Amino acid sequence: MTEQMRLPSELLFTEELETLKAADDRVRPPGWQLSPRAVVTFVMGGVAAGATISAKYLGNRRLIETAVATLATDRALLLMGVPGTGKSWVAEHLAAAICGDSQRLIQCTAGTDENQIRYGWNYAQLLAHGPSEDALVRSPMMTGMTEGRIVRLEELTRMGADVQDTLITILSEKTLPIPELDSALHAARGFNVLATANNKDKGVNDMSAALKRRFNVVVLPLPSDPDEEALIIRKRVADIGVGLQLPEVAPADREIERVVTVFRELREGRTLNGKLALKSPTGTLSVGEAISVMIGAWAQAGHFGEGTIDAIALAPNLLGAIVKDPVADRVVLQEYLESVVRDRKGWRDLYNAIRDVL
Amino acid sequence: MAKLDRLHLFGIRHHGPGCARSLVAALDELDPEVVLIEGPPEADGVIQYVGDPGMRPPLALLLYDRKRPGASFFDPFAEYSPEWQAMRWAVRNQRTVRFIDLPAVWTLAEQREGEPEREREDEDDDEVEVDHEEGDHDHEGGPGSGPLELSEDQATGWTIRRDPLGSLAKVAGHEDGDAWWSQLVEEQRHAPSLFAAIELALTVVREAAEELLDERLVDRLTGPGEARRERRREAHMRLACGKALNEVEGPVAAVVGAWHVPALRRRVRKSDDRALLRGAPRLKVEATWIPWTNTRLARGTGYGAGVRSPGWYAHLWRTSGSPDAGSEALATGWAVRAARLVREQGRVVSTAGLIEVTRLSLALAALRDVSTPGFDDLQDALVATVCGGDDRLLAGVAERLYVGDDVGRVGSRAPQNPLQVDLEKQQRRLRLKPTALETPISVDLRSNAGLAKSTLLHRLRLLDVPWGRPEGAGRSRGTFREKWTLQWQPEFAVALAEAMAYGTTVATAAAGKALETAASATELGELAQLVRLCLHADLEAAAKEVIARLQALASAASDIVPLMEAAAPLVEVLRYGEARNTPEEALLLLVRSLAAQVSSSLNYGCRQLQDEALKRARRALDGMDRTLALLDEEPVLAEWVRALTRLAEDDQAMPMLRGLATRRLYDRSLLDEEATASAFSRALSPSIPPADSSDWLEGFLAEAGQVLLFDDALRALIDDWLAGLGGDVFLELLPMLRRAFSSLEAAERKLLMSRLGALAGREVADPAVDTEDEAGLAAFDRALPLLEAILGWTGGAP
Repeated sequence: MTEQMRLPSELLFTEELETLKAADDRVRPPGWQLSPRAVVTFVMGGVAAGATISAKYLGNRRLIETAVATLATDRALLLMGVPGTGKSWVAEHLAAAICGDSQRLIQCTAGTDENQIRYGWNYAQLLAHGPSEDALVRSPMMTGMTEGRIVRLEELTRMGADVQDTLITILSEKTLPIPELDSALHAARGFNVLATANNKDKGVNDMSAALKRRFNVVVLPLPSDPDEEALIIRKRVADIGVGLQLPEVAPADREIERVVTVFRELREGRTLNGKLALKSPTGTLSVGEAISVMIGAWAQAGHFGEGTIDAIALAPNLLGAIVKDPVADRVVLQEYLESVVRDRKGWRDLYNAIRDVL
Repeated sequence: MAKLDRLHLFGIRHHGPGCARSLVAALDELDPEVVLIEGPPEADGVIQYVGDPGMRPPLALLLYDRKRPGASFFDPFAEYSPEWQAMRWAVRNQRTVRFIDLPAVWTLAEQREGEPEREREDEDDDEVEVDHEEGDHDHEGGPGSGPLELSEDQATGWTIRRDPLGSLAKVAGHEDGDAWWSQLVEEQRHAPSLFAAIELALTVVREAAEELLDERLVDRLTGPGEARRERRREAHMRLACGKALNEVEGPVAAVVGAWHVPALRRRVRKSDDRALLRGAPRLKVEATWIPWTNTRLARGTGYGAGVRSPGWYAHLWRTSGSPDAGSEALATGWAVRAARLVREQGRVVSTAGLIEVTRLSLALAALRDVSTPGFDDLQDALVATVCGGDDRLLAGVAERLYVGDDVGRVGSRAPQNPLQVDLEKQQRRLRLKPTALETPISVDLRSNAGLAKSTLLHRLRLLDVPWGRPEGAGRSRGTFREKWTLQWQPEFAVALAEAMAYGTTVATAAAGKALETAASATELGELAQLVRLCLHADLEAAAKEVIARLQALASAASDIVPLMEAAAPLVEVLRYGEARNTPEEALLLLVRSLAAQVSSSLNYGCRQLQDEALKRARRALDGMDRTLALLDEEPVLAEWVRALTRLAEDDQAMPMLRGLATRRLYDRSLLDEEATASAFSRALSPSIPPADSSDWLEGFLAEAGQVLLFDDALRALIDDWLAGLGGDVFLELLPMLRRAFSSLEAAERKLLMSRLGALAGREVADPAVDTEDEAGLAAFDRALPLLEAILGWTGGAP
């Protein structure tokens, strides 16, 4: 096992990528290491040359096909969705499959400025020798353009609208002007931008119409049915747990189902059978958070508990995920506890455990 | 050449543009002498009209029993239906063309009296069309899906039989048979050899199904009727093919559902086929063309893809017909169509965006291994580009894009139901176009055109053809405007065929129908509505007869509630009917006599009523009071007031109605405050049973929330009465006070509360106001919680 805490997709799945590459006899867009079809197979899972390719994204295949086809037509792709629907996860794997490098990455924040999108200056060089290629500090965008790779922009809408608009020329002309040197950088074939953004969050800046027009948008939805959601969580929890070298515990399918049930019911504001209306907490209660709850419970059970993930291990983690606003969310959870959890068959242990920590 | 070699079978899917395009090419190449088409032979006579330039699909063949037009069925065709194109080809090239399916008499005879007519499509689940209701294709795992225990083989056979295309698609690695067929056959371009391939595939599938599942088992699984019907149909088609081969020397083309092709190839003894068809029912069947709609082509399947979307199939058909048809043209044309609709929703769609739709859909098609972008590809591309990932935007235009509001038109040469012809003439004259989607219109009754439109729509309603639905209270409430929502349904053609029994024009048929309804009506209210409808429909003569009937029935009536109910619509006509011809004289006489009859026995009619009857009487009484106020005829009104007074004072009448009568008298200032106050305390005396008191109060206060708020005198009156009550009595009355106020809205109660506060010298909502009368205030504050309880307003968190 490597010392690196988390391996990027292209290193984690090197073998699968090699297999796909070897078996791929379709036309590859310029600068791509795989054909669009093989990229879809890498993300959605399947079989290539007799070897099984694991599924990285569980969900609607048509969405991934649209995403890949967008990138194949030189259009920039924007993955949207509420937090925790796997946008970054999909983006990373798409980049890894298309250009073998998912690490040309810019994390956009309110503090991101134009220099981080375009280029900065090495001021010592600049003062000593004046403007020159050597005095430029290259951004991941610039590097990606030179190498003809996919550049990922995480949380695009978190940076200011004026900074976002820096992208317009890059996206439409595939060129980065450097007026100081009276030159411009022209992107190599294979360059493209893959951005992710939230559509339900505070502190985001709306995109200008001009920029929006330059993206094709694919919205990743929350899983449509509880079984699918449980499957995603089970799979991801297993992956992450192994990566973290957590102590082995018994499989916790039942607890996963309970977490999914709790999350879905609170998210949708009604019980699964639709008979009871509930209040929703302030958080989004995404799949991502459900995964964290399970990982937390796993760590707790493995290190401090009996070695099985049970209600006692689950309760504090559930509490942390649901109660984001100490007053309002606590009331929501309490109501949910009394009206639903208490009387549900076989949920007594969970009721008591949450009561203890609440 | 051997006889059977001259028979060319074209297995198609109904409503498939790809099939239709290939079929036309194949017919051009083969040039058959006779074209046989799967369809009811009774309609042979009307095939010739398909070449008429006035004929615009979607159209349907309507077949009905001449004696009982209600027994009927439709056979719909779109422009891109292979059968339609085959008919057109034969007529264009002057070849013999004939329908060869089982005669319609069999189907019509099966329809029992009163059973709703069904579409032929619906019965055809043995065709290659995917059976949507079946839903799951996973019968292999569950052999116990029917009441029979099936072996695994039999279950597989059954699955194939139920859904042959789905089974083929599964072999090809696709889940959805319909989408698979659409993508493979309908959305691509094919050589005429397509039909050989279809025949081969279906032959294999059908043989497999028959091998796995024997006939007897099919009978038990489908029910005896369905399987026997299929055998009869195929026997009839085989005989018809044989007959055509005997008649001519040249090639014969037969266009039938793909599932039937293997059966028609089979050699079966003619005597066996004839035996199956013995005992045909004897009925006189009429066949005619009627306009159909896209909405109905899509009905029951929802829209999404394939045959689910007539709009998409029409687009495919039109695009594939143009000379430079290619993937780009197809994708661009669809994108432009969608963009136009999205723009109408007020959203900007740039041309650059449309270019991206085309590019992305082509890329998606390549990724999905098809040469031409299909419905799904274009949908995904539209969502990702011009809709910014938001598929709700597309959902907003989905109905118009995927289904479309096309309504077919039958050419003038084709024989039609005379009523239909008359209707179409009027539709043209009034410029009212039948559309499949809801269209709101507003007509001005002062203009001749507006009045004529309204009249036509009302007449059609009398004929059970609710093409127009009157909207809301805008109708006949003293306004000259009427609002209607128009939506044409193909079933109206059947209603029109049935209505022929009453007359051959819309006007005469409507009048005839109204008179028949009147003759059998026993309810006064129903008759009064009919009078109104007749007058709105400008059928004065009929109205007069209905009025006479109403008069006769009313004079024999002993119950006043229906009489009161009958008066309201009549007065409305009198009051607001200026725009139309009205037999005012007769109506006025009728209303007067109704009013007199009601007034004379009002208090007796208001005795001994329970629950529902009481509620109905209360509504009727209220309505009658308003109606007579509207009529505004002095003697009638005076008589009515006397009746109300008698009712208010009648101890035996229902307290709720007495309360209401008292209130109406008070409203007209015919009872002064003092008299009202004493009526109040009388009705609420301790000796009266509490339930009666409460009913009285409820009747008196009904819908009075607002009046109590603004009528200071009334409020003071109630207040005084309350304040004058002794402590014990007050406590006893509390529950019924509570109940009487429960009909007020929460906001009204709040307002009332503050008004009462004002009465006591301060605002309840504002405790900081200082006034001089500290003592009075303290008393009021003490009373507050109780007052709140009475009003049912617990203003805990203002």
